[in-house]
Amino acid sequence: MSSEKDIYTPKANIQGGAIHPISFTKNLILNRLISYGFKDASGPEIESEKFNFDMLNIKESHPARQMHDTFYIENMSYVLRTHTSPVQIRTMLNEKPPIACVSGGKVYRKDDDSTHLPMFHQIEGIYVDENVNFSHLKDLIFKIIFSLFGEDTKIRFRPSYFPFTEPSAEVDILSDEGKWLEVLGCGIINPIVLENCSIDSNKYSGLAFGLGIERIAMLKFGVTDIRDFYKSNLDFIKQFK
Amino acid sequence: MKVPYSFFSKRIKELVDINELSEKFFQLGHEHTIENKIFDFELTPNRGDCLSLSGLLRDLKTFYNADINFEKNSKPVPALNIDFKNKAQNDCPHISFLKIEIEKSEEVKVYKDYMEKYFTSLDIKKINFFTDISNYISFESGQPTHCYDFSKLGSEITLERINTNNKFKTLLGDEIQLSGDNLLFSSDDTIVNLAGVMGGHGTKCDTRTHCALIECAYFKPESIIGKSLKYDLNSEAAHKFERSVNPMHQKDVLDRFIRIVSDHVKVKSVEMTSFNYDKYIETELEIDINKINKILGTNIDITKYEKILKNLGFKFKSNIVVPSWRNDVLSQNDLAEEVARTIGYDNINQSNFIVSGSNKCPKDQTKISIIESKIIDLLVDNGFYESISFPFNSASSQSAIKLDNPIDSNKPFMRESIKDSLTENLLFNERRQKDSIKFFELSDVYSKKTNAIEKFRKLGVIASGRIDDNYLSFNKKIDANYMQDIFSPYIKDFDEKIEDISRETLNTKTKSKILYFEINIDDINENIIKYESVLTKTENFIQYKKISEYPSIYRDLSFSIKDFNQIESLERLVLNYTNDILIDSFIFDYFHNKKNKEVKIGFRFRFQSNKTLTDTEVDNVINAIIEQCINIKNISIPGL
Repeated sequence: MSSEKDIYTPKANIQGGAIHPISFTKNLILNRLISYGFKDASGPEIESEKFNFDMLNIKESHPARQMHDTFYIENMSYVLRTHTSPVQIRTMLNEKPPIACVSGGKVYRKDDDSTHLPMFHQIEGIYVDENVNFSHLKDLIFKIIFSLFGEDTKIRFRPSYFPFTEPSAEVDILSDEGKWLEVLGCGIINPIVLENCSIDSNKYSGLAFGLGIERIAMLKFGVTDIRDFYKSNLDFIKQFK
Repeated sequence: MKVPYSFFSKRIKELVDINELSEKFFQLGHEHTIENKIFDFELTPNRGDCLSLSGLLRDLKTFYNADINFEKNSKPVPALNIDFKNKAQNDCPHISFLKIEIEKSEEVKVYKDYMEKYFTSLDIKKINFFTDISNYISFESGQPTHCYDFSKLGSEITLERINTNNKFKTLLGDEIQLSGDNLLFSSDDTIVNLAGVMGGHGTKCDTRTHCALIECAYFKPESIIGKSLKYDLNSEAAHKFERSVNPMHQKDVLDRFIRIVSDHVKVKSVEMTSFNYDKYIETELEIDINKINKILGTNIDITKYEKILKNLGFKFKSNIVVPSWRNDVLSQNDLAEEVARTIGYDNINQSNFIVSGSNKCPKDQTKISIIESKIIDLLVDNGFYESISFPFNSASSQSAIKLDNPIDSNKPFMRESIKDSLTENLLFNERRQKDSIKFFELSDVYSKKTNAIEKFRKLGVIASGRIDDNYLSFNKKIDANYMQDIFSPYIKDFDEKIEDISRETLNTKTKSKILYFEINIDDINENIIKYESVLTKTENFIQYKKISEYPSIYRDLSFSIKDFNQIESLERLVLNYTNDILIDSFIFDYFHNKKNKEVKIGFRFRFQSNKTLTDTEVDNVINAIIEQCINIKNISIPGL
């Protein structure tokens, strides 16, 4: 028998906590993008229509600007930003090309059902320089997706439509079950947007991309119901540490 | 928009199969699903021109020799003398009317094959002869038309923007209360049509209609947008006008209408007239293949470029002339997209993307972001979990920002504090039998100050119940001292910031104190920068296991050990035991009784399943654990 002096005492394990899985995903993606040379930028969640829509070539008649899609506040004086793109507008207004910036954060849309929430998170990035083209955009998107889902991932680019990019694309990855899953949107920055930010579109061009963080987190963690992220259920949150 | 595969295969002879067509549509950017050989398209809002069979076929001409000719009336049609006043020419610059009269006695029960298949394949209900043709033509050409029973109309028709609060009964029989500015057709001062959205009940066609007036207009999208939603009307016409129809094909569509009518019944008379208030100006863009290659990073030659665009209906003159149905093509970047989707985005090569050295921005953490990251380390090390909550709440104040259109009318304000959100989260978990709850949330909150919006970066921290799930802390409850020990080195005047939230107004039976503090990030002092995290954090995505909504069952098991060499074996055996319903286990009690020369170890187990567990199911697991442990020398379970 062991002596009383060297008796084994179980460890009183300190149960550490954890950051939210959405923060984990956001930080991971942002850090990878920063490692490519992008600068982290941030901006307000309460925005003017000018920065949230007008400067991004989203016309007044665009359905997204209607009350059923966008939260308006204080008698239509402001909106809750519907995307993180206004941060890029602010950056392009304040800096001269070359510009490489990313921003991540909360965005708001007037949705509330089993697959859409009134608040969710995005990461968007832009790169503006001379001679930036679609083939560079493709390479960047491959880098991002391979870093998240592995180098064997099958990727599909599809034409899409965003007022602030032209050409625009949505990017799908092929799941293990053989289904194409949409993971991000991207495109060449519409020259109108560059001109809105006083950037000479004859000299400079740019690329832009955006990811829904919840979408990536759901795919990576295997979460099937987006609403689980915001119930603050400890049984749920404790799994991500 | 739904289109049966057979409608495509009939007009594309070289088509191989449905999967090939599906791939081509994805390449063109026309997202869809397929069920029972019917394509269901979700088209992007800039491609209103593809909201029809002919529009989709037109796009497919880039790959196939698709037949897009639909037979139409080629005979001259006498002019219609109609008293039409367009007081909204800016909203409706092009409009045509067709008056068509058929033999009274004719009733068509089965349509010609091309139209009958539209109704049967897509399970669309037939309504009456003229309306059915109108619906079919909208599907075929993308152009909505509206059919009035000519005998029910007055002597004149007026189109104008009216600010009215009149009631209007739609052709579906719903009565809607008009409000604000509306684009309306009236006849003899009676509203007969909410323009571009839905016609009225009083002038609609029915099975007895033998003389109809067909209205075929181009409305500007901005004149129609939002109206169907405003009046909660499900209108396919509005969906198409909002995305723009071809401003130059109204007359052609009415000629097609005449042809379809005459395919089915004897036509007594037709008259037609067109009003064009605006000269349509074609969009012209410079022929600049270098620019296209510069945008795409490709090396396409001019011959290929020309072929691609011509197949899509573009004309090459001194400039590129954009077809009238492509209102989305306005720039070289738009042309580049046409080329890219024809080649296939997936077939464009990659070029190495690199933010060049001189441009590269080093990871430049601001002081605030370092402080935030360090305080998060401190919180996580001490067992706090991050919460993210929606910022809407009911708390009104002078400075609270009000939403004009909240999702929940009970929560019309933006929160000015995180406290309510975190309290709600704490109570939610208490109701789920959690007895140690520690949350934090970092968030921007906003307030109104005179005419400006102020932003604050805040940290809220809430805690209640046991300090931790281990034997040293199990019987200790979270109190102000516990919070002080952790946070006071980093937050100035912490004792003034910590508060004890009263449970009096909270719907809870739990008695534990609720400790809360909320600070601006600026209130954290710089000592935190030196803080070094003690826990190893995961850098991988952990596979989530679906959580159960059923309640947990807890069981405790205490062992008495005389042979101290066996403590570690027992600990390992019990804590490593796995079972599908055993969710968690830890040592909640450890006591060395020196007098009796024994150690007592208490384990707590939590069981949960995707159903309500029975005592027997839990007992079976506990018995299995006991069975494994009891064979260890000099171990006993008191009371067993």
